[in-house]
Amino acid sequence: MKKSNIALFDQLLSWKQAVKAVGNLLLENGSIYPEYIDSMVRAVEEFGPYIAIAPGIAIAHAKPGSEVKKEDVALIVDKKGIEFNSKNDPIHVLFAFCTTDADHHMKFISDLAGLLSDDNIVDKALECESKEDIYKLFFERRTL
Amino acid sequence: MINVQAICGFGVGSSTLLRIKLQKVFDELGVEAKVTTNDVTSATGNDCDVIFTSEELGEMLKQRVKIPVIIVKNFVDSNEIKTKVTEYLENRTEV
Repeated sequence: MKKSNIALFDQLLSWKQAVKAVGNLLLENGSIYPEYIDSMVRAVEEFGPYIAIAPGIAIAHAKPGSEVKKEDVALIVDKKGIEFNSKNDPIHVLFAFCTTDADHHMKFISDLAGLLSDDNIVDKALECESKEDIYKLFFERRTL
Repeated sequence: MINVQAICGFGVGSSTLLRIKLQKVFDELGVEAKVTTNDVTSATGNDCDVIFTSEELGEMLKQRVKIPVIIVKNFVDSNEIKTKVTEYLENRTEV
C-alpha cells in the first residue's frame, strides 16, 4: 500500500462518483485497465449496494482476471459521506481492490477482517486530517 | 459437518470476509462446519446446507434455492453473525 493509493474527500459524493474516484487511484497506479472501473460500477448496478458491508464501510471490486494488471488496494475517506442507498449509509470509508486470481487477495481480505473488527474504525477515520493520518490508521504495521 | 456457503457478487470480496467471520463463529461454538465462498450467479444451493449473504443478494437467492438463506446486514459484526448462526442451528435441530 502506497500513500498515493489514498484520497481524502470533504464533500458529499454519489456512490458512482466515489467508486470512479477510488478506481482512478488503482488506474493511476497502473494496476488495472480502465474497464475494471466500469465493471465495479456495473457490479453495484447489478447486485445492489451490498458492497456497503458495515455501517460507514464499503468495499468496491469486480471480477478477478483480464481487466487487472496486478493486485492492489486503494482507499477513500470521505468526511461528508457517500450515498450508496444502503442501510449502512453514509459510507465514510471506501476500499477498492483488484486481484488477478481469486486466491491472491486472501491476505488482503483477512487483514481487512482484522482491521474492521475495530468497532471505532469509522470514527477514527473521520478524525484523519491528511493522507498520512489515513495511512497510519489503516496501513502502517500492516501488510495491506 | 455442516456445509456453509458465503455468497457475494463475485465470490471473492465480501463473501471472503464473511467466510472468515463465519468459520470463526462455527469454530467458537464447537460446531463442525466447512465454510466456502461462491458468487451469486453460480450458487444453486445444491452443494451446501445453508447460505449466508447480504440482504440484496439474499432476496434473489431465496427465489432460486430450497435451503435456508440467512441475511447478514453487517459482514464484520461478529455479534450479528453469531446470533444468526445460533438461530440457524436452533431451527435446524427442530426439523
